[in-house]
Amino acid sequence: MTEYLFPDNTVLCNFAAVNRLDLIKSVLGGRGRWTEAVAYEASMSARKLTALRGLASDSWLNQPIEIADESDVQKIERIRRVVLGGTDGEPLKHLGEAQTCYVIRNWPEFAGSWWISDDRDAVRWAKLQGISTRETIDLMTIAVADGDITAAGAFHLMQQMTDADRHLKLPKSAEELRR
Amino acid sequence: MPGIPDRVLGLIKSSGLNRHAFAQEIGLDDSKLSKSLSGTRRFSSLDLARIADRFEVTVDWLITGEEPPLAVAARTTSGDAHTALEAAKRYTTMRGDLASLGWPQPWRPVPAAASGTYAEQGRALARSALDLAAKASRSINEADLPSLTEEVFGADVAIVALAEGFDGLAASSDDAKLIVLGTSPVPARQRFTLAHELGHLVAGDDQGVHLDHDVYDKSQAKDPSEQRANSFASAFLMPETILREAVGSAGLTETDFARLACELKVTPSALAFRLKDLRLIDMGTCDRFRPLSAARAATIAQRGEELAQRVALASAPRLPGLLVRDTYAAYEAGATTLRPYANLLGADVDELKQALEFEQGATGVL
Repeated sequence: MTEYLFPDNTVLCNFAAVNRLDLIKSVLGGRGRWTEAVAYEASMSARKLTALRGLASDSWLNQPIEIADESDVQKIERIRRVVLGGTDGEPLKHLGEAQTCYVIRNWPEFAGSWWISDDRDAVRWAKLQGISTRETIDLMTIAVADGDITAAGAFHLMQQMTDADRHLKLPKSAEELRR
Repeated sequence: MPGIPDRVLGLIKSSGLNRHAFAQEIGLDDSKLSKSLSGTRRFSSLDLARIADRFEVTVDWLITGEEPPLAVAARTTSGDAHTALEAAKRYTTMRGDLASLGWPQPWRPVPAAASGTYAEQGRALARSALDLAAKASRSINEADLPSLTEEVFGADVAIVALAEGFDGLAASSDDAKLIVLGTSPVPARQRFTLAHELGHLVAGDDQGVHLDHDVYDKSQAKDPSEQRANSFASAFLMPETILREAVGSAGLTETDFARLACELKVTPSALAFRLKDLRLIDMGTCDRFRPLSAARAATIAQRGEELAQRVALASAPRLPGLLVRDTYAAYEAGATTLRPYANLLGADVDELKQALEFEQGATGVL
């Protein structure tokens, strides 16, 4: 069974903010997936982060996963509200997270997939639901192990991300990014 | 039976947009919209959220066509009632969602009185309610009536900042029992409103929402359910046994009367009428006691300091305590993120998380 990797929009933004979407593309290694709401969120973020503009036409995250079953839609809506703190008045807020966690937990074809997010609160919840999670720091560790970037380069890149007002967990040193 | 396409067609019509413009508004191409409206393609989760966002409806309504009575009331009401209804809608939605995770409203029904006039039913319900409070070792003369209501009856009580002109509401559904009160510089009025709304809830008056702009409005009091709620409130806040004991065989002096009003935290006017209705004082005495102000009663009873605290308490907003408790419990159990709790508090989730972690760390040090 293939385990897919679902980066949250905030993770895509981290790499876009330093113009290194190529790096996350390499780490995902053809196993990247996204839901329609994450794709939509990325298109909204592309207004500010121009590196995201070609993402929808590139194929490395594959076609956005559409969820059209009414029962699925209602359950996602409830997760969005009660778990992730969304409201009826803002129906798009947290929809990407809710859709992603829902399909990983409930659609057999995505069982065992990873959800990649830097929201530690949401990650805590997802872990408790049995969802495998990773953060940007984990992707960087993989990139270093795969030889896509040096540990020092990855460390510097992550600092650049935070300089660009991105919120993510930082390693204490470059050494921490070596497994 | 109308389905999602019918409701979307209705929105297109009411928006005044043509289909092409509507499709653009929600990010669909004309072909997809056409197929979705004809039923050969289903609207997706994102489509529905974008429609809901743009046209100010809910995803649930698009799917089911059902709108909770509270949502209808909030949408169609203006002014302070709208503010209170929005709060009620938000809190009851949260409770409904929490119930689905295993944290239902801990509502404890009061044994109903089926016979007698509406006023008699209200008084009988009040006696049952007072029994429940006594079993929980709570007393009606406690200052914190919202806390008592939550612990004994399992209904949430919220106080929201409203201008004068709206006293409160009771919201009731299968999932939620909620009372929303306006902040008030008159604590006795707020207390009476709380008891009145509790009366509506325990009587099972409305599956939906019951608004009370002015609980003292005489024309409103003609409604049978209002009579019952008023009768409940009066008998609940001023129990006959306490009043009979206070009057005793010697009767009440003005000082005794002022002390009793302060003790029960009701207006002298309400107390005078209640005593008269119970024939514990005559009409002349009622007319003599009734004009006494709450401040004057507090001065006579030497309880001015306590009145000042009660005015401050009634003037301050209050979150629904049971909902706060259960929202945090759901987070603590790992069933939700911290965000719903932070939203309820109106706090920034990251700052709250840091604060909670610091608190844990500080406890560890100590």
